[in-house]
Amino acid sequence: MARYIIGRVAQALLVLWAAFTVTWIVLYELPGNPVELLLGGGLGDASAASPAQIAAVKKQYGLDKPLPVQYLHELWNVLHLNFGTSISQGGRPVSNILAENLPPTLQLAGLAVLITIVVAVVLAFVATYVRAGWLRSLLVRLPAFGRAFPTFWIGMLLIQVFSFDWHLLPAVGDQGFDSVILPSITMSLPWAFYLAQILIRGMSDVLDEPYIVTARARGESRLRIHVRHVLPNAALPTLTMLGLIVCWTVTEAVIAETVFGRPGLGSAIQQAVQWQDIPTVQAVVLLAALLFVTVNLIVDLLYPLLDPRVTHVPTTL
Amino acid sequence: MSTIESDSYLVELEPAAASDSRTGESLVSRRRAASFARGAAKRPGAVIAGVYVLLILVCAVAPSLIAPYGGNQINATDFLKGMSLAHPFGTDNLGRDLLSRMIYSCRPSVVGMLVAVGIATAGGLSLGVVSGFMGGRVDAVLMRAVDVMLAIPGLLLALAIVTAIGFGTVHVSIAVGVGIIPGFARITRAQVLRVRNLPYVEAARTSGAELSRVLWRHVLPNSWQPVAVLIVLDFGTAILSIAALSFLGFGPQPPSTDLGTLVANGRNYLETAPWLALWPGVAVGLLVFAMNHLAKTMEEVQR
Repeated sequence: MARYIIGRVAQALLVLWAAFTVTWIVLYELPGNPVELLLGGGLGDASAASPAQIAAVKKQYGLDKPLPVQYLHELWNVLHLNFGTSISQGGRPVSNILAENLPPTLQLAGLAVLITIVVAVVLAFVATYVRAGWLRSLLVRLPAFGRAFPTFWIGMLLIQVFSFDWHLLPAVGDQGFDSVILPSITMSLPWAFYLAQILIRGMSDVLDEPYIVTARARGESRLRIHVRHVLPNAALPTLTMLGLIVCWTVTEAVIAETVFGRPGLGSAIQQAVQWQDIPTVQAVVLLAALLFVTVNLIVDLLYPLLDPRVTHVPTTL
Repeated sequence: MSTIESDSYLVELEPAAASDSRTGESLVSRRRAASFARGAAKRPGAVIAGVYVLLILVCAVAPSLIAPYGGNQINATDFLKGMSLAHPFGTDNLGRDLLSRMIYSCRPSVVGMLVAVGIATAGGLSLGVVSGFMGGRVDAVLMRAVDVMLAIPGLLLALAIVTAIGFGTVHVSIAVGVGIIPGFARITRAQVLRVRNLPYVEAARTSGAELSRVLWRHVLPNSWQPVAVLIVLDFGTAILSIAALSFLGFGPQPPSTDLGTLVANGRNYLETAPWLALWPGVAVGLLVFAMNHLAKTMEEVQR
């Protein structure tokens, strides 16, 4: 067990280090002239900068040194949570921007993960439980159809219906709980449909298992069988997807916060990309990777408690 | 499809019979066409999906043939009008016909989709084939790299790449394509692993065939079908991701638009003219759904 835990933690750290390396290559090595971007973003005029300014930026980011030194310099900074200063928000430290924008996004993401799970479970449960053929095939096909539509478009549809037509919920902004509902529904729907698809497949498979026939032969009701046997057995493997779902909420937050005009990490990175603000973009991407790795680690460590078989068979990532 | 396959066997088994006269060849192709038609009749959904995708492709190639108005033709008197016979999908704030604008927006969307999937296929296929076929340390290193790429959400990686290389349809598609590579590589690798240990591949290798020859002649032909399904599926993924990046404002810069930018533009008129955001979104959703349905049909036919 100790070996299992140490192995998982080491793997998580390895993935984080590699994620840093990927963002470093993309953001600091891929642009022809990162100094130009660092001086003023995409909108800045680097030709107006004096040689002294250029030298100062190069020194600040260590860009005047050879590549391996630059790399280690950046790694050292990131390890000390020093992500540099933001270009899009007037030279404020990026770590301040992160700290400020994390809470609203976490609030949104937390509710979204909850809605994702509830919608997926209810949809899959009803789809595999109903007997009417037409309703069943409708419900089984619904997730595939829903997933085809862009998240931002679904968000606008929700605004149109719930805010403008029915005046139930605010369309934009960040005023209390009411304003969290629509964005979190928007964020959760695509992945709720995805999870529902997997659950429906899993539940249909479980329904064919011999122990379901046994349970039925014992005279257990359909509902009881569905609640006690089918759902838990189909749901356990989807637990490993939790990390993926949490990770996706960060992605969807970018869209939802833009559609609903809310503050948060998503709108911060949207703005940062607009300004080609390298330090902020890197910090947000790394934060998302950290979130993904942490959630996966927790799931990996919890999984043996729920299903003791896994500690004996090492799984990949 | 099973009939098509048995037909091709027939050609291989009796090459003389099939090619000794022209009538023989046309007989085979006619039979193929007939079996294709039978298969299509059994799957009306796939036919509709195929027709819709074709329609979008035609719009992308020759928008001026289909569009009732010019894509940027301004009509000062008819702005923000709802659906009518003259403007089936209504008009925007400058009186431009929405349907025509959508038809003209297909080209950047289709180009983006092709570039993204092209990159994903080239990168994912080569990574997956090399990884699966070499095995050992090469495989371990490449798959670890893929794991890392999967730890960074695709859209965020795309955003980082766009930050580095700039905005526009092609840049956004490159970013999206790179984001799809890891998933593609994994599935290709699984297919290659499945084929690699089959007796005929082992036979080819032990009988001294070169590595590249074994790859081209034996491994690829026998593992391309699931990969083809994946490519069609990735068209759908790519459309959605590109639309999302366009919506965020990193896609084609004005006056050029793709379907995602049209939805984004409609956002400012949600209250007064909701159709501006509605129809382009429907067009994107149906395109993705059609692609996914085609992929599903291909999977069923292969089985």
